[in-house]
Amino acid sequence: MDESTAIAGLRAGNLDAFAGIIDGYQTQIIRYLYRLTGDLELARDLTQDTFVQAFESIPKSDPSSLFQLKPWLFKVATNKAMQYYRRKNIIHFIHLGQNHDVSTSDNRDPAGEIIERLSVQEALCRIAVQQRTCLVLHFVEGFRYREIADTLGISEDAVRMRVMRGQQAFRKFYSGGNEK
Amino acid sequence: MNHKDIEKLLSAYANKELNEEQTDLVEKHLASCVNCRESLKQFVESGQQIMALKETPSLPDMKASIMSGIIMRDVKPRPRKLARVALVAVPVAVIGVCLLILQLTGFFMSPAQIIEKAFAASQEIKTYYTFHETKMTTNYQYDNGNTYSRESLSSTEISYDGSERYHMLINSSTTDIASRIELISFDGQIYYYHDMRNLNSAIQESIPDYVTEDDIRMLVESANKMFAADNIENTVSVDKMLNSLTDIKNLGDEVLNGVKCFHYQGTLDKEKIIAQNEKDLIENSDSLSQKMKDSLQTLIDFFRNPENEIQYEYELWISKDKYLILRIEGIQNISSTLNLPTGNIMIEGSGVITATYRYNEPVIIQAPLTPDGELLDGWHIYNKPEDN
Repeated sequence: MDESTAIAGLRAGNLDAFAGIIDGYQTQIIRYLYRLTGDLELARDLTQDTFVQAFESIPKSDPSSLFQLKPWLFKVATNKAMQYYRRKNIIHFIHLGQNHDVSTSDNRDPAGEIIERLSVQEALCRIAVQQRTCLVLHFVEGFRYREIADTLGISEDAVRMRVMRGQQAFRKFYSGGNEK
Repeated sequence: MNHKDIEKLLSAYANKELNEEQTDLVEKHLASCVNCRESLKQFVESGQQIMALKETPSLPDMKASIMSGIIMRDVKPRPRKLARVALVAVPVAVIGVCLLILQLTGFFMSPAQIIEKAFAASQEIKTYYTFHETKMTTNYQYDNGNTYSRESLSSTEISYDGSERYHMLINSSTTDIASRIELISFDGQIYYYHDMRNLNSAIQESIPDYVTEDDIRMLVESANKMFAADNIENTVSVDKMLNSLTDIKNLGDEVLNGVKCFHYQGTLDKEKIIAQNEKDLIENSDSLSQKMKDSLQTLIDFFRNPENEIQYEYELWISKDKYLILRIEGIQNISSTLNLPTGNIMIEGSGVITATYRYNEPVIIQAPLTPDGELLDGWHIYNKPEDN
């Protein structure tokens, strides 16, 4: 089922169409939220919220205007993550121990690579969330700057700045496996 | 394009996000700049490291749980109440200027009809009381990787009795310091009080009082502006809740303290706030003090600076019978970088604000005087600048 058919189907209340949308995007969305938050359980909850909102909101969108599912879904997912942080009333820099899911669930890699990935995720979680969002969208999800700007509703210049600062911050926090 | 400009493009160059012209400029510069070549190498490396996160452990299949959640829920849209809403942290002295605004989308009636009703209602206001509280958490991140976090709490309480009497009390505190500023306007005379207290017993020396006469003057200006005899309706009316908000959603009616209210959510439109404050600066140029003008300009510059990231979201409750704002809840998120000669500090602030409003209830304002007419301890008489 192609995307425009799926959206039309969803507008008509067709659950199969919605299932198709989940199939098309759930992996990307949960991966994005997992890398953004460093917490798999949280990523699951936020993914659920994202798709529930899709189910409720897409049928209400203007059928005459072009609806682009991918940026819309990522924008909703990002907003869900931001709302989560706002409810916590603080923007986290790091929370050690968040990533135990990585070490327990992936037993295929040599120990060295697991340790390296823990450090990368931890370093990423230390970075301010607005920069982290752009880093994950660009490097993990493959979004170009223009796409990130459209998804988040910010300028391309702002994206460039956030990515640059995010990379600089990452470099400082990442120690290649050694705890700072 | 100079060296600093090129430095700002290196990350985008490493990520292949520059256009042809920019790429040429960067490559020409790189040919002769060792430092930039080294920086580029670091950007390339960090990009590759983060890209490794594309690999994930096996992720759960969410389809079944999402679908069962959809099928079982009542899919009729219900108002989603944010746990918190964001609100801008403006300098206290510009609260009166930045009372926030809502552009009604007129789900049930046109904006023009609502504004007309709101204006009519605000003419009936005699007394006014508001209590605002802001809780902020600010995180500082230094170049060397160190971080520091600070929490602060401030509250503003304002009472106005419908004549020229008003009372404003501002309390603010961090973990170390608490300050109080108070103003009373009573029968043509303005009185003020301020103090600063050390809350940290580890600090022995006394804290200098940072509140200056200019600060007091600015507060008096704000208060006078809010409560000038012919201006109260501008202070409180919903229609002045201008179109500073965008993405406005009607969350459905809600009962607040027994009063049926419209309930709206919106995001601050920065361009509109800038335009509003610029207009204020121009129109009131003759009557504003220099400090107030500087304060407004600082706010405008802060909003204008593309390197600052500002996101404010609000929820408002507006009474359906009187079209008056009864409550605001807000969340603000701000990111900014302070560039100092010693290095950069990245600042991230997150604040929660709640504000409640009451109208036409009895308000009693008293002058801060003993029965003998002497000033109470710590209080002073405010002298207008032309009186000095």
